[in-house]
This record gives sequence, C-alpha cells and structure tokens, in this order.
Amino acid sequence: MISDLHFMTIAEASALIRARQLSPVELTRNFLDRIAALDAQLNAYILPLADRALAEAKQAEAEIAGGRYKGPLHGIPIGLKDIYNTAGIATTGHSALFRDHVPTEDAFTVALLREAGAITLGKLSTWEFAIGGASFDLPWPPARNPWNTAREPGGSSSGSGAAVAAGLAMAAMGTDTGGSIRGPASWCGISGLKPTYGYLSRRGILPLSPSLDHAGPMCWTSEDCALMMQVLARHDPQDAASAIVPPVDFVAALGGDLNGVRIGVPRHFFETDLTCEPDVLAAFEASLDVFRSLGATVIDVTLSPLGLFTDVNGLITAAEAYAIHQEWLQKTPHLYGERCRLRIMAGAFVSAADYVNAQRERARLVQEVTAVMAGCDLLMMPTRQMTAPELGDYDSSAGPSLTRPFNMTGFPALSLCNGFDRNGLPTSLQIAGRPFEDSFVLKAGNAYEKATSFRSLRPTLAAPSLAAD
Amino acid sequence: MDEISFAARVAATGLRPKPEDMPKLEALVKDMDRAASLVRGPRSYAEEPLSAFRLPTP
Repeated sequence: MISDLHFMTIAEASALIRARQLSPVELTRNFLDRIAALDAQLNAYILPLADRALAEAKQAEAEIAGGRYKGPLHGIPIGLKDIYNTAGIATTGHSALFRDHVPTEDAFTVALLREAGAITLGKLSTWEFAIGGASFDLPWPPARNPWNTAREPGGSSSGSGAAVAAGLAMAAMGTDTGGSIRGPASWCGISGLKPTYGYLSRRGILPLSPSLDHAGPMCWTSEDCALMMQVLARHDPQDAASAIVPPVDFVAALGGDLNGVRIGVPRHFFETDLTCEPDVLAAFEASLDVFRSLGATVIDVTLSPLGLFTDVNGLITAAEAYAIHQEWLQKTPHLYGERCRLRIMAGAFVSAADYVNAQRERARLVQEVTAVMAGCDLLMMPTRQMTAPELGDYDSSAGPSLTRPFNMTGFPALSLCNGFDRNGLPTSLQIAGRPFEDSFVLKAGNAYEKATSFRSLRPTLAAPSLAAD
Repeated sequence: MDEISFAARVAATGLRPKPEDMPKLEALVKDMDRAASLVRGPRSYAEEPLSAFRLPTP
C-alpha cells in the first residue's frame, strides 16, 4: 500500500504508473482532494480544474492499460502558472485586466506537456503579470508559503512554488524574468530550473520582458526537473528566440560522478555586494563541503558588481514590460493592482538610448561571465540572501538580486533546497552553468540532493479532514 | 528632480497615475535614472545588443 501519494516524486510515481501499480486516476483524485481540503490556507490555485483533470487522468489510464504508455509524464498531475495560455480555459495573469481572457490555443510548452500525457490540475497564482509582489488588491489573494503561511512563498511563480512544496501538484510550470522560478523555489524549498534562454519556447505565455523571460519547471527534485526538461526542450519555429540545438537525454545525463568538476564562487556577490543572513551563509558553505566530498574543487571568481547586473536587468525589464502594457496602462490603469501598475509604469521613463545601452552592457556582461566560466564548470551561490519574509514585505525591486545575473546572461540556473534556518524555513543553493549545459546543472543538483537528506522533509499543513490519512 | 518637473515627465508619457501613486512612482523612476546613468557611454560593435538585427543566412 502506497501512502502519501502526493509526496511522491515524478520519478517514483512514473515508475509505478508504467508498471501499472499506480492508477493515474487514483493519483489525480488524491491531489484534487488535497487541493479542496488545503488550498484555502495557501491560495496556490486561481482555478482548479477538477473535472477536466479527472477526465484527462481517465484517458491516461485507458491509454496505459491499452499499451500506449507515452513516457515519464504520462498520468502525472501538474499545475500551470496562470500566465501560460490554456485553450478554452481562462488565463488571467492574476489580473482583473485579463479576468475574462480565454485563449484559443495552448502555449507551446503546455501542448508538449499534454502530448506527454501530463494531467493539468489547474491554474496557479502568480504575482500580477509576473511582476511586483504579493498583492492584496487583486481579484484573487496572494499565495502563501506552506512552511509558514504567514510568510512569502516568493514570486512571481508563487502558486507554483507553494503547490509543489505542499503536495498540491507533483510539478508545476513557472516563468523567470529576474528570478521568478528560483525565488519561489528557494523560499518553498523545492528545485526550480531557469533553463538557458531559448531552450524552452515562450510562445503562448503572457510576456513580461521578452528578452529576459524564461519558461521552466518547478519540482520537488532536480531529477524531476530533468524529466520535465526531457519533454519541454523542443525547438519552436514560431518563437524567434527558440534555439535549435541537438537533443539531450536529460535523464541519462544525471548519471556519473562530479570528480574534477570546478565550481566557481563569486563571493563578492553575497559577502560584500549584499548582506546574507548567517543561516543562509552557513548552509551555503556546508553545500560547498558536500560538493568537495563528491570530488569537485571550489575556486573563487570575480565578476562585475551584483548591483550592475541587477540594474541592467531592471532597466531592460521596465522598458520591455512598458512596451507591452503601455496602452492598457494609459487607458485602464485601475484594472491593475498597485505594485504591478507602478513597476511597469516606471518603464515609461526609460529612454530609448538607455534601453539600447542597457542591452549593450548586457552583451558585455555575457562576455565577462563566459570568460570566467572558461575556468570553471559551474557557478554557485545562495539563491536568495534571506529566507522567506512576512507575506507582503518583500520588494523585488529593492537592492541587488542573486538571480538576475542569469536572466541577463541567459545562462541556465537551478535553485534547490540546501537546508533550513533556525525558524524551519528553507535555505537555498543556486547552481549556474554554461549555455545549453542545463543537463550538467541538473546533474550537479541531483548529486547534491542524493548526497543530502533535505528532500525527506515536507511542510505540514493542518487539515482536519485529512488528519486521519 | 523636483516635484513639478517629475509631474511634467509623467504628463509627457500619457499616463495618469493616481495622486497617491506619485511618490512611489517617483522613487521607482529615480532608481531607474540612477541605473541608466551606469550604462551610458561609448561602446564598440562587440557590445551590440543580444537581439542585434540578423538576417537568416542562405
């Protein structure tokens, strides 16, 4: 008898589904029951899709019973950040402006997940249009952190992080323009990959800053992120940024050891460019010791100040977001919440010259990081300098950000859980790699997770109706 | 930047922020102006934007 179906990883569940020892219908029902019982505490979902999910699960079960097993995502229940277009289903961006927006087509990545047999449990909370912060002036409440519901889950993929950590989805899709996958992965204690820019299609995702927007998976483990990437990493001829690269077996690439791997640590990012909480620093140093024990070597590297990466990212995001929202902000500003409205309005004040210069500085920073990574295979640092703050207190526009350098460069970056602070909140490690070496980043993350015990601890949510489970 | 000139900048954008939005918006714009001052200056073609215009090769 399998207990805690909702806390299984994709790797575990898919092996049982393939062997016909686990029913996708039973698995999906389990998640839907939990969403019904627990999500009022978390607000992870804007729109659960119970009937549709059950229908999809029954179809998956019939296909598998008929010998048409599609692969590791077949029958796996997932959630979608509500900026991913879903045909015939509202895609709101968590905004009154898009409350009635019902796309006619799935996002390219959503279509890939459906083809692979994944079950869509529902649409997940986000910061409004993936920017700003947790807001209380929107049609839906902000998501909360399952480790402590008074705390931020991080954003903008806030519902995605909360749902995966709490066992309300086995995986979720997020997007990341300045840290919106890795931030919630960090504070919710899960694994979230911002892939290399161009690896995953952006088509059919509500845009924020097209030259910085990345789609990516959010899962309990790096291994599960690899299973998702196996399906998601496909060229999309209708996305101008979509890369054409040789196919990679992300799952096979998880194998092998880390002997001789060189890890570069830009210590100034988190020792002088901003202030880290002591528990975050201690967890980071302990993580490096784990990698040393796995055969890696650690060297210090120097990059431009973290604040410069952050500022250039901020200029580009503001200008590009305003280009998208200009007409709506001029005509219907009252349909935005305050935090999103002000952040995007600020983009009206970035001149064309400053935007071009920001993109040119970005090119210089890419060259700089490329040169540094000629001498090391991975970069590591904390994902966030602190653990989850009180809900509503986090201002994503304030101060240097450890995640933005990898939106700027487009290099792949993974956030994973590397411990817990004195209050029981997750700390996090960020692992970045060279362009299109996402599989190597995931291999390092997987090795770390296998060598440590942090994947064995889940948040506990009180639920009288499930207390006897 | 004083309050009057910021109001003029706002008017030039065609935006109509609420009066209570103005102090927060001005603070955000000040930070944006500071960031912009860091990226100005002469640059070579090696520092073209990543989205540089490129035609498909035959």
